[in-house]
Amino acid sequence: MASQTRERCMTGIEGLDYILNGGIPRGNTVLITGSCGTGKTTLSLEFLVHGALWGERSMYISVTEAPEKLVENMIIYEFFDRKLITEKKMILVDLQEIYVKLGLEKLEFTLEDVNVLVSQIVKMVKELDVKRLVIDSITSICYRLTSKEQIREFILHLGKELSDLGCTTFLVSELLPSAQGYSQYGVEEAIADGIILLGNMERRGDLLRTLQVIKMRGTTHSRAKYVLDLTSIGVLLAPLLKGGSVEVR
Amino acid sequence: MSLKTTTIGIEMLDKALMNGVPRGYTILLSGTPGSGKELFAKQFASAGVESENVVYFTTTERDEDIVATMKSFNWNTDIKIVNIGTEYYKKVLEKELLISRYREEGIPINEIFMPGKKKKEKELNFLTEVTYEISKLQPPFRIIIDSLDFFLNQYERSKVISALRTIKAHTQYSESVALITMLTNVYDTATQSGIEEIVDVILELEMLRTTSSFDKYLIVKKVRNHPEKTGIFKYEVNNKGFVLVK
Repeated sequence: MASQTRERCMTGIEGLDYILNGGIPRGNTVLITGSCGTGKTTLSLEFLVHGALWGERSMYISVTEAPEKLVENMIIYEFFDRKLITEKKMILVDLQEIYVKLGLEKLEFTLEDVNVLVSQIVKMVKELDVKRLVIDSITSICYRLTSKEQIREFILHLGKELSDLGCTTFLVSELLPSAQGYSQYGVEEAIADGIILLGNMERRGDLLRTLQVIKMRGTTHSRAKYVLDLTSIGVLLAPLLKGGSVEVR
Repeated sequence: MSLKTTTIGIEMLDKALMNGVPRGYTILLSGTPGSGKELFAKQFASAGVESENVVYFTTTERDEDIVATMKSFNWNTDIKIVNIGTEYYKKVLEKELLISRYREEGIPINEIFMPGKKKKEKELNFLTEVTYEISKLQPPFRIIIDSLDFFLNQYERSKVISALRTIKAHTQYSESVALITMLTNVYDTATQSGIEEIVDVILELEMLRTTSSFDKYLIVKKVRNHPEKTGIFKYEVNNKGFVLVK
């Protein structure tokens, strides 16, 4: 019964809230996983923008791309308003800057480094009252962790703290086309509360983007594969017509 | 043809060498902590004020402390001090202090969006800076580097040795003189002999404990081309500075 009463965080993404029976259970940590070019960043940004428009403060932590560049990528969307940034309803954070300040400009993190990083992210979420968070990508952070235990500790610890704060989090995970399972290190998928898999599929000479909710704790959901369309009004999802399609990752 | 020499600043030691140290020579002064290397360096510095361009590179002391010590012995303080220690503090240690504070307390929200100091700044090479400063000097000059340990701890040993070779060559061609201080018995044999091979004179300060005090010895360990000049002298420090006793 508890699962039915959990408050939802509506993604605002056309079709996704329907698949999830009303949205993501608030406080969940969701892995957005897929190989390159499948729309992970776009989907995550749209999730944040809708939240910001509804008055939920959103934060995007970028590991690999400069935040200014992301703003440029977002301008093409009709629902995006630059004011969201200037009025700090949507906050863009460059993790490299955080690394510099915390002395984390190194290839391998120690357990202490991991804890310092988690505390910093939690501190920002808490003090800025962030309700929606995207870390893009978790893979490039995990790359600096030296063991699966550390990755496990990092995601568990982070997920727990953010959940307690009522912050719904997307962890963007880069998947190699050759990878087995749903994440680069195999650990992330086991710990996350939800997994949304993005992929490519070829159909009659056309390369389609697909979306599938693999798991989502706290709600029932469809596990069917949907076609994902990136348009200037945002992400559109439509049921997949399977005839003649071949899966490619 | 008489050798052009310059004074070390300790009369007895000048006599024991070639009535001073030949111009163009690089001297290594090694010793244990507390043996008086820094004081020796200052005495050496002030002895050159009349005839040379004196530049004192320090990695540990503050400028005012150097001057104050020299004044207390009534030595001429008309020297140029290049403070690597202060610069190191400002460019590296100060940043590390801030990092440890941030790690402990978290970055304050209003500082998150301020650009941090990039790594590029951090990779300032003090070794290059010292060699560059020396290359600009008007000869005849007298340089003091106190101490080489700072560089040996910061950079690859081979790089320090190569920089030392550059400094030595430049000192030689400009008929100037250099004194470099270093701790005794700290480094591996390859580093130690690499350094000892480059320099022209090696002086070592040694303290031996007796029942109630220390016996202090100044060992002339190497004098290029003059093995007969090597020897052991007792020294003490009085209100004039270092003096050798018979």
